[in-house]
Amino acid sequence: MRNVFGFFKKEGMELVRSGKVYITLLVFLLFGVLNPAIAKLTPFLYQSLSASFKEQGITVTNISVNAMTSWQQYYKNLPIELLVFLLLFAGILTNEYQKKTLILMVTKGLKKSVILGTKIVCLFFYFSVCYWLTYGITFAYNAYFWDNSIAHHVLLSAVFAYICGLFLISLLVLFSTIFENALNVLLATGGVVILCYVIQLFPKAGKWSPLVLLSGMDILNQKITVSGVWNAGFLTIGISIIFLILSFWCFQRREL
Amino acid sequence: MKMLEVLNLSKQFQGKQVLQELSFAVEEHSIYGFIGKNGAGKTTTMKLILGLLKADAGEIYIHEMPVKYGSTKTNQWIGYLPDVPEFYGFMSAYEYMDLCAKVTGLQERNTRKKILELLAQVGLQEDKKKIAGYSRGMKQRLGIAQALLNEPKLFICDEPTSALDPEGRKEVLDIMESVKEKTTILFSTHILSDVERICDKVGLLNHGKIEVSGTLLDLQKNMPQKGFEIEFVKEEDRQCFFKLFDEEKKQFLGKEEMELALSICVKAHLTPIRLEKSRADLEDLFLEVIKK
Repeated sequence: MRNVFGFFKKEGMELVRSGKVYITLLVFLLFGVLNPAIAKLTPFLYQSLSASFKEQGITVTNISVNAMTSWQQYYKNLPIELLVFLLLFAGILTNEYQKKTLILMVTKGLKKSVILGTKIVCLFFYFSVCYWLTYGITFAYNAYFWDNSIAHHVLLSAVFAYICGLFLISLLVLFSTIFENALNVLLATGGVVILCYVIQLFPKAGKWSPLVLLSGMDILNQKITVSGVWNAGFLTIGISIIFLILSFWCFQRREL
Repeated sequence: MKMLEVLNLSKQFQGKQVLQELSFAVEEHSIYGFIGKNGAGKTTTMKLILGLLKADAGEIYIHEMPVKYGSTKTNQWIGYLPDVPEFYGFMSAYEYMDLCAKVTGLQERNTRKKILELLAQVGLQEDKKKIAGYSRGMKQRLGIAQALLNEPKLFICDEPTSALDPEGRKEVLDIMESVKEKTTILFSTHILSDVERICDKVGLLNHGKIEVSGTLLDLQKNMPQKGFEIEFVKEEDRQCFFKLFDEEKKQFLGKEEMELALSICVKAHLTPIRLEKSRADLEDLFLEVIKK
């Protein structure tokens, strides 16, 4: 187990010293604060702009905001957070191929499965920290300013979106074991996301798309039922596991 | 005892036969110079020995255990120094060595002492700066330190001096010579003076197989003849000597040239200030072999 802990320590050290830990934490923290902040500031913004609206013939009535406004921001900003995370970690393996830093680790007896396993655990752990940090901050502010109970299935909706995040990371890992550079990894991951969007356009197939998991707002205001999203949830978990198993298979066979 | 044995090893890349039934062995506590021009297949052979590539045919034994592709069992006895070693630039030399110690499974209580000893041996002690700021020579020395960390039975160095300046080369060769008693070294290079300096045995790789091998002494005995050098004070003596020599040369072969030169000097009363048999070196042998 010493070799596993040793490699974990290296991954942690890299995260801190490359500055990625600060960038991602800052981004996720900022969005956590921004979601309720934007909701809170919306009436003031409209009020300050009401004079110019009046000139254009638009009358601004009293705007009321509540926890739902903040959750709306949360689900609007989520794709940006995911994109930032994927951009920062697209080179988690490809950087090592290009610098050939893994060769010495393998010739020292570190198994390829340990290398990949450690990287996957680190990615999932760090994404979980970032994701739930944003959720926690938004949830706490919402509870402080308004009332979260007006939204339905708040936690479950967030869990669905979290599963979608893990799915994207599994894709990133799989493509990292196939491609040589980070750009190709990002393009391939983006390609699959576009494919999921296309699937969503078809009513029958659309409900199975992993991107359905990002429709948290529709669950909160009961536009769609939770039972309908579970299908996509289970399928996404299954596909993610298959992707991860495949990535071990690919990594075992690739030259470092 | 044979520390490394390579038997009938073949490897092909995209239709090109890189290794063709390559066979050689390295005895324990020796330095084996593995020479060949660029692209001869030296790095491929080393990667096959490390199990990083899959052989098309043939076998490799390290300490009598077969090497398997992807398997790391035989790597427990190997220390590997790649041609351009790359490390995690965000770490210091000590931190990197500590990572290697953990990865290789060294006992915790001995680790610190061992790392400091090795870093001192390669002249990197007290160096707290990050590896990203290291020169090529410093990286090469750190490469040696990490390779020796697990006290390997076989130390594989892939062109360790090629990218270094003369000072860096000397340092690396000195370190390699100093660890010879503790380990066996497989040293790949195309710098022949380095081979002549430290190797006990040499194998010359060409067209995917060992064309010539043996101790340096054996090779020198069989090296191509290079004639002799003669020097006169007066130009007319030189001209006279070569006129006579060219007239009679065709009757003689190779090593008898010196005798002919001497007899001409005696007969024609010519006194050279220097007459010396030219010594063929590894470079001549190398050039002759790769010409084939």
